[in-house]
Amino acid sequence: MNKKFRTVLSLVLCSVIAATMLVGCGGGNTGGGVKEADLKEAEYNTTTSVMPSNWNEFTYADNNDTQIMSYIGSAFFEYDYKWEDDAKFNADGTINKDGIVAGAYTTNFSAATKLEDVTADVDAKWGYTDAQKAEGGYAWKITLRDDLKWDDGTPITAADFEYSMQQLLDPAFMNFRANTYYDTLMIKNSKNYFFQNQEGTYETIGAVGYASVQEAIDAGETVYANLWNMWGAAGYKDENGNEAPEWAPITDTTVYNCEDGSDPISGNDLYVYYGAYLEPGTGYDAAVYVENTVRNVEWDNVGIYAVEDENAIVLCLDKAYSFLKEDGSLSVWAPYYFSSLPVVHKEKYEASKIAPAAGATLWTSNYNSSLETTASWGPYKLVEFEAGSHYKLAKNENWYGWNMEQYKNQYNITAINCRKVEEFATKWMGFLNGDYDDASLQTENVADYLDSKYVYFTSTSTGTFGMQLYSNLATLKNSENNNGILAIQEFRHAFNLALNRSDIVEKIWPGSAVPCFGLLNVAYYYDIENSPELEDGGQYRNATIAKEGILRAYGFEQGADGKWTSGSLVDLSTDEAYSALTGYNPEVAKAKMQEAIDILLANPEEYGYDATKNITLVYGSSADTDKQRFRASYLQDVLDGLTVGTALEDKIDVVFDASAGAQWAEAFRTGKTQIGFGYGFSGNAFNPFDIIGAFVNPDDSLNYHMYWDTASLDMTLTMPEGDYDGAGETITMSVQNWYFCLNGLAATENQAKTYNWAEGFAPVEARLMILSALEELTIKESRSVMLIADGGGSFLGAKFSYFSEDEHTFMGFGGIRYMEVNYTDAEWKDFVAQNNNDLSAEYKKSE
Amino acid sequence: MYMFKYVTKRLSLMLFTFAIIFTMCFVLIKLLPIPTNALPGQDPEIVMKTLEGRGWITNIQEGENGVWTYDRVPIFIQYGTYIKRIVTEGDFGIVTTYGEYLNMNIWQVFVNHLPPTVLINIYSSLIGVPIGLGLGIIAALKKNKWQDQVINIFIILLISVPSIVLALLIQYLFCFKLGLFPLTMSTSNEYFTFPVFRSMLPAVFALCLGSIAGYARYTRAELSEVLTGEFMLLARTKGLTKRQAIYHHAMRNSMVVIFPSILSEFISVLSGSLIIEKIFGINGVGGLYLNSITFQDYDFFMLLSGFYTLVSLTAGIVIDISYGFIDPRIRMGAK
Repeated sequence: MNKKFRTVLSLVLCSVIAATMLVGCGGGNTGGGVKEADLKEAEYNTTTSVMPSNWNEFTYADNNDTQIMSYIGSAFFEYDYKWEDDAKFNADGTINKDGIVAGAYTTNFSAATKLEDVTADVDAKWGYTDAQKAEGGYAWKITLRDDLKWDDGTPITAADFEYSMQQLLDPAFMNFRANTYYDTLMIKNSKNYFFQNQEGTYETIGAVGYASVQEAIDAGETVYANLWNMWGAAGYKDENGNEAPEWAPITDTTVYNCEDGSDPISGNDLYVYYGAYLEPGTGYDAAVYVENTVRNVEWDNVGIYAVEDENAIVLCLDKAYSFLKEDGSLSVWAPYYFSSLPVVHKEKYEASKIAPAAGATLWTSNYNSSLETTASWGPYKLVEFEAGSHYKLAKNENWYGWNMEQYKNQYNITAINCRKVEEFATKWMGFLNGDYDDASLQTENVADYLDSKYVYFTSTSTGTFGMQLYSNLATLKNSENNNGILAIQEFRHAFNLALNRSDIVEKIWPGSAVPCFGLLNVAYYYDIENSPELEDGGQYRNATIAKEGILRAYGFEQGADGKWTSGSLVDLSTDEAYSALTGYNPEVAKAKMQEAIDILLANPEEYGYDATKNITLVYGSSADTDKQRFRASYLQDVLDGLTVGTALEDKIDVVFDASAGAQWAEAFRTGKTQIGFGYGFSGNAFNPFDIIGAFVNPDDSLNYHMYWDTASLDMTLTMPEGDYDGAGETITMSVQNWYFCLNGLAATENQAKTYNWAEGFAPVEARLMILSALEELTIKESRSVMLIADGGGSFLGAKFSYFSEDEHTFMGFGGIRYMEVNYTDAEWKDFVAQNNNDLSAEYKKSE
Repeated sequence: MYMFKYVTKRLSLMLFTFAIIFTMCFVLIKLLPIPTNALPGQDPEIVMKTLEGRGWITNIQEGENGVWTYDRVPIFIQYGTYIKRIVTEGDFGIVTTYGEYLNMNIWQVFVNHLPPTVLINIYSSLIGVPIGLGLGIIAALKKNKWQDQVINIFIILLISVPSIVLALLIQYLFCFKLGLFPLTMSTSNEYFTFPVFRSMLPAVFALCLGSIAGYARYTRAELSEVLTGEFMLLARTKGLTKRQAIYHHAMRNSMVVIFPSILSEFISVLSGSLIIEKIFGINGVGGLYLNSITFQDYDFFMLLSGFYTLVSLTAGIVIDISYGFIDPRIRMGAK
């Protein structure tokens, strides 16, 4: 046997042995193909209270719309379970359920095949500095699969993604979801393109080349004077109640008056009597209105373009992202921020455009709002839809995923039938007689079915809700409600500590929520990437520093030995104290209330307080319902208990007001109502550092307390040691500045201090310390009093089983993709008939 | 000729009344605060620019504390544009704020929702009217006898139990427990097939039970009164049998009151029943009007307001004219 032959023979033998071992181990999803498993298939029947109407990625409104969207779209990158030895499939092709690594995940390519950081390679016109090029993360190239298709077989290419983004940012449409791309992803110039021709600025006459006001007038310009700067007329009103604009034409004789009796003023008065001050260089220079040409951006300058010969899309961003790990694999952030880009079927989209009605300028589109206008590139396609009634999704035979091994033997649900059922009783009876495959756990059924083996409790919702207390003294004083006490921090803190969250959950949100003490609930992760390995699971709420902040905020004190004490609770470790925390501390609440009353009575003028009148706190609601009225009366009882034996006993009235209707948020933000109950936030699970802005950044559109001037409120922290900017320093800056530094936006936002402590620029300990300090400060302020976290239960009927009993951060219980079918449609019919069309006994079983 | 003049006059008055009501509706809905709330994650600037683009507001500015200010486009300018659009283009607009029908053609949405509502109400009348009249006639003819007492108890039960309870009872007993009908109406658009008809029956029963009681009560009361009239005695003395007297004289006279109520019920089928439609999952018009107000969907509200106003005004005229056909003694517009 010659040497060459022996080598070949040994290689062949090795290959055979290796293949045999792989089969024997039941692994091997990557090599020789996964067997077609013999699995049952069935249709899934569900209900909705509100039908989706608009599953257009450009304009979808809420979770009702995403019902359909999530099935007819696909992702460039996706999360999946992690399997031991990467063995996702058993030898018979079934999914290797026992091989799941608890809590772990993988990030995989789906519709894309490659992701590259091309910051250093893109054209100079995108303006990246050398530092940015070295840093990377600003420009990304995504190469797409070649087999992407719409459900009608039309191919999808990179050019379709560029076309779709251009349509999304079309200023004539004002598409609702455009801000995801100009604010969150921050595609270069996208905001300017979207708002092009819409705004202008007031430029001083000197800046635009006029030597004097007269010269500007002679040139035919409309000249403006600044009423606010020159006269302090901000808040002045004309006889019709219109507020004085900042800039008024010098020809405008509209007189604006001040409520405190100061001299009235008009634009024309300023010109006639103080004209000399309007000349260039005086500090009060007159101005002309200049169209903002910065916003006239050509599409070629918006940071997205297709590289057609490579079927790739390049994105140039204003913000750096770490979508790739150091080893070049996808990071957790790739599917999180960047799972896909919007894409529309060009032909259908063009046909769906609706021209503005008479008297309007806004274009609209009915794309993805009916069967005819819908296109799918996801695992399912829409096959039936009737507005207000029902829809049906069936498998999309043109989905690229069927060609991929990673999706083999999944999606055993052949169709999803959903019909609108508004009444809970109808829905529940339909679940019990097998018509529908899911239902929610509610007050009506919680007593009998709480322990049912068919109930799944979810804890991955970020929804954190509570009570908002309006506290802008200037507005409160001017109202006729005599409620300036809301501006006293001690009063709000007392109110906060007087709320028993367990009692609130039991009486107001039974079965659908759990008590919550922080601004952010347990579903927020500060480090999702390494969560399985971290002791606290990477969850912000479980981090020691976050627990310490909460304990301090609720009145615990830490001794020199590190032990915590509060009232009768003494010498507790951090974990013990945190477990004992209820947020309910009536003794401290009473003391705080007395402090607040002392402050109020000592300074009645400052707080606009009239001791002869009752204090009225207006409880705002979007609807006049028994549930809402009960909540208002619950708060009245709390306040009555808090003020017993004080000077304010029986003097605080909670008044219910639902007159604002859908305008409830605006009514609160403007101080028309002062108690907002059940108001809160959800979302952004993996970036608690950003969502905290909804509380401490007055410029954040979600903030309920934009009047809280955190730009003027200083906070001092000593940064942990380390190798980063500001390490070891004791730093004092405004709360808003801290927030911007934490998110790496301080320089962009022209803050006094421009530390960049965004992810990757400061150690996580430092970032957690800042986040915790901001949370502690906000809780102590008690403008936002968070009370509950989402935590409801829901049923999955016996026809199906979820893939996993354990809820996974990314995969939930496995969803439709991994759902297991226990009965085919015919078998299910028989099973229900055997149970006399009433499955209530079955669904009460706990084992 | 008198009749023609009368009808012409009534029609002119109807159009005048319609114009006033329509204008008032437009002004009143537009006086409500404009919904400017930005949803979570939405840029308020887009909301304001969208409203500006729709031609509802102008001069938008971001004030201190992130609160936006704007001027409303004068209501009568908006009204003029709206009327012009309808008259010149026949365009009732698209749904702008009513989530479930966003960007859909308003007229199309309304028309699509009418058939199930109309059918269920017609079936309900077809079942309810004969049963109600029959029970009323029996009760009147057997006044104060056991048959009358049984019917009265039945009527009182149906009248005193709210329709929502009746609907839920029907659904629980006949649909859930006995499995005779589906819990909800079929989603098929083939309305004249047996499965769809069967799925409508629980809602039809829930609707007609109330009207059966109503008709029976009216008929009993009217017929009882007519039967005691002197002309009935005269009819019998002329030699008519009791059956002939009742059929030719008593029934026709008692119908003067009952027939208009049947007619108005037939016309009101267009408005639907919010509760019944919700319980039985009927994709009808019942909830549209209320929700168009809740969501302040101006164009949707105006179309529905106009439609229902027109229907009720027409019904008034039709009912008035119908008196003349039922009772020859009544002559409209005669001097």
